[in-house]
Amino acid sequence: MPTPDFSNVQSGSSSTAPSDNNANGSGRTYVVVKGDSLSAIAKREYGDFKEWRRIYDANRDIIKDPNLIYPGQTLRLP
Amino acid sequence: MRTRTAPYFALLLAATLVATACGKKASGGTASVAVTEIDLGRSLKPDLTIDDRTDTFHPNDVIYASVETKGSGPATLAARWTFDDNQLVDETSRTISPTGNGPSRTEFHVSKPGGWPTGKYHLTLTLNGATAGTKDFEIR
Repeated sequence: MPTPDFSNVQSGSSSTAPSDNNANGSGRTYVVVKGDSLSAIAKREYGDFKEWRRIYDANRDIIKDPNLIYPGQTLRLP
Repeated sequence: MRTRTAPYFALLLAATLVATACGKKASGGTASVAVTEIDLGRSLKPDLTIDDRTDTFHPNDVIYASVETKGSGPATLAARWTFDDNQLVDETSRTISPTGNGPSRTEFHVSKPGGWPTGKYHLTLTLNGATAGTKDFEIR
């Protein structure tokens, strides 16, 4: 039986505790869960759904379309 | 003879326990953060606790490990995921600096485009390099 190839495994982490892992912005991250949208995350994190663009701008390297985010994605929270 | 060796071994055991405790503190770096719970599941709540705990997953699942810590001060958590006969799947570490003594949550997750091979997997969680807990799970 051939050895499985795990070279394409994607991984990440986030924490409710302050972290040293992100030098960018607040250092906080958020992991997308099923049913999330940028505006919902913005409402929860900043109290205003209109702030979604801040999250989008801070994560342009991993979000191609702001209407499409996926469970498991780790977003930087500016 | 027996009555003389018993106190000797008790003393030796006590000295070994003290040495072990000191060694852990030294290698752990920061003794004020402790891992209190590790859960596995398929999804997370916004507070990073597991939404649906399980140790059995499907090939296309994202696998989440949610780790509760208590205490304050910098600490490095690392999740080492292995398959079957200790084949490395992934290793991720994160340095946290909780400020209060209340619980904090840190999550680690792994996914595999194309699907996970079925079989038995193992997660080893370390805190400052020392094993803080392990979890076995299966992909079916």
